[in-house]
Amino acid sequence: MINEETTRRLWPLLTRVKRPGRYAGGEWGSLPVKEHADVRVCLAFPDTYEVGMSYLGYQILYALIRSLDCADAERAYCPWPDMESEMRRAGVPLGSLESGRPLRGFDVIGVTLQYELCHTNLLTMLDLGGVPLRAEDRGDGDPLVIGGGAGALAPAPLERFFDAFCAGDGEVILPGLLNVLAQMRGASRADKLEAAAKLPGVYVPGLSALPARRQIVTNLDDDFLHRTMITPSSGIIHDRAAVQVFRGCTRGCRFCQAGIIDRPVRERSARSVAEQLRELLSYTGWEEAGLLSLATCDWTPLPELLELLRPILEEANVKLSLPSLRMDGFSVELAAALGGMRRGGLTFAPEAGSARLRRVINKGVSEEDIETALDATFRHGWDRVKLYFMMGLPTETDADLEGITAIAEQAASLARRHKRRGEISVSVAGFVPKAHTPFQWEAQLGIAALRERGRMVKGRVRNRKISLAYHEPEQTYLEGVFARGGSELSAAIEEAWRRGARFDGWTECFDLERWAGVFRDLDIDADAYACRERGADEPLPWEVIDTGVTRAFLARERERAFTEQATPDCRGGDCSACGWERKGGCPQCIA
Amino acid sequence: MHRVRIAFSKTGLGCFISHTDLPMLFSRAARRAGLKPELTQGFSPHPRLVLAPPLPIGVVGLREPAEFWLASWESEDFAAWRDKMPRGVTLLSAVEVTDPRTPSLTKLCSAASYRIKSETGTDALALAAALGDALRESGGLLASAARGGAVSLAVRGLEKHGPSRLVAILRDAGLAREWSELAITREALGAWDESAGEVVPL
Repeated sequence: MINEETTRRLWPLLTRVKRPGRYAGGEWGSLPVKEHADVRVCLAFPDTYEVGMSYLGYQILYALIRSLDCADAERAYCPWPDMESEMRRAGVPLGSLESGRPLRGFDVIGVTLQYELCHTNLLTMLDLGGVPLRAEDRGDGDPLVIGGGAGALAPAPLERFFDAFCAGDGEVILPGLLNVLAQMRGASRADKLEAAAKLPGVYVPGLSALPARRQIVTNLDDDFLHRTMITPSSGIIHDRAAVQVFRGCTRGCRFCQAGIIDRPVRERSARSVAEQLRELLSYTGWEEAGLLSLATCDWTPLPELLELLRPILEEANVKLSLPSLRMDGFSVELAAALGGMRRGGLTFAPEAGSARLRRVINKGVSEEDIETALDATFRHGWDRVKLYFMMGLPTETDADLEGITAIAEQAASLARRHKRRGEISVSVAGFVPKAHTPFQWEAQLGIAALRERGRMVKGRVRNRKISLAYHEPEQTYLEGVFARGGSELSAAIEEAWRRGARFDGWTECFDLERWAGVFRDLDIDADAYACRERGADEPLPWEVIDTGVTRAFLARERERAFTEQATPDCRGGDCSACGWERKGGCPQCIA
Repeated sequence: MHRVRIAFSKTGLGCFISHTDLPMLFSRAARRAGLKPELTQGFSPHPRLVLAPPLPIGVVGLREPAEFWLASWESEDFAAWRDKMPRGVTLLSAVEVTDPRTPSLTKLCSAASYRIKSETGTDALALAAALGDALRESGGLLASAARGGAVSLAVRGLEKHGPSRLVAILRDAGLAREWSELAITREALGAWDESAGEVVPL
């Protein structure tokens, strides 16, 4: 628990900053630290409290680490710039919410890498926590800084700052890793890293045998399940009890990194999910529950779960938040059957405006699906629809972009037919090719071209019922640089941070000019990372990690994209030989 | 439906939890304790409750009142509810209001007592004098005294004479530059007892 001394030091700072509640801690479910633990882990989230507390992964890992005899977990989030400057002025280090222990006092700093534009926040946290920024500058008394999450599967730009990365599911990697570190308590940093490098799924740059293989939980029901969650005392973004119902996705959308790096699909049973959710609702008191996955409508036992949940939700007066919906009639009917949560509208992601381009990206949504879904939405009485698209996809033409506004018009006209208000909001994001996907070789569209396409689409909106916004292309560009970046980018991240880059993912903080200046001064060709097509045989920096999906499969999928061939959903038994069929652990292939 | 009046304290870093977050915080703790908070009717249902005039962020509250409407209530529910609260906000008491003629909480809270101490060493006598003069002029002063290096202050007209006003008075008098230079504690909210010369908490 935060002691009086820490409270006294933080107090004057908190009277001066925005949203001080995010630094207060003490939430229900945040437990007193263990008196004795061989490995003290600080789960550091490189964004604000409200974002970090919405991330289910840390709720799981907090409970998991607390359950280990040898280890304890605490949490830290990145202070907003106003708090950072107050802390620097007062000489107050960044500590955990649980004890106020500065980051340098932990054995391990665990950092999840969910988003490329959080990189500078990591440096803020290390620096404020008294941890040397570069791994090479850390001594035996400093913590090991270990990365996880999607970013750990393409870690080159961050290698300078990390001692190790975990590739895959934390539930299978962390207990082994923390046990080894507990046994080696007092050993030198070099010895610990050498031992860690031998563990499956742990990538220690320079020490691990390559490629490091991503590790997975094969049976989710039988593995560690969180039965508690930290319940915030102030509002966060995803403010609800959450349970993951499956991992992986079989749809095979070619732009989607999660759909590749979370393979194979591993489904949980309805009974296990219902039981877990019941326990979580009773522990947390949350009035809303969410079923998480990459595509919850695809989950086989969903109808069975809804039957099991109905009495639990009614008894506790809990609302089920709608999962992201596939654009088809089935999903809308399902949402309608759930009742409740009727206010607001439904959200769909057709991703591309034409059937042709949807074939290229393997988003198997037909024109008929779109019409059926929109029709059912308004027929069931919803008034609003939100549609997500991308621009800058491979092979995209003006006709594909025109399709975006055509779908929005279609939605508005279907709303009229059903006499609904029909507010259509359209969001268009620039496409960022990601590592480990079939589009990992593609050139990303540059800033000027993306802006031109955004303006063109927006300029076509004539209907007052339709509001269309496109993402500012500068952030998209920088995301693209880091998504497929090399190790020389470490220097750029460090320099941009020294020049004041903070919270680059937040529009109000982002400044591309600062980054452009850094790239120029360090003689780094950032365009070569974002906007260059890679040669088919070129070695790629992220191939130090083997996600389980083969390069041959990705290359094949790329070919199929350019010939506009669909690859069927493998849940139906049509194995597309992504690589998992030879590794075991893929339930589709076993069946 | 049972109308339950509670008293709670906000201490330590719990003072930085915003007033607007309190309804959810109490209602989730009640749900953890197996209680069922009544929800308001309407488009976006939320727990039915009445809070006292807001305690600004960063002000300690030693005994703040609130009222909740719950589907059931037994006296032992108090301990269950108290044990499910997050740190920093403590449930001190919870009692059912059984007399339907009991006026609303807002009507019953007409006075507040504060303890105000300068963190920069400004003399409590000077603080008491400045606050006394300004509040007397606007009709808010009930009592003001310097005790043990701090000001003990009782005011009426809670909306008009809340902690923000007190800080503004001291700022205008040149005795404090900002909130962080003052430690403010609201000790009680309730009715002024003229004969005893103190605020009787609800």
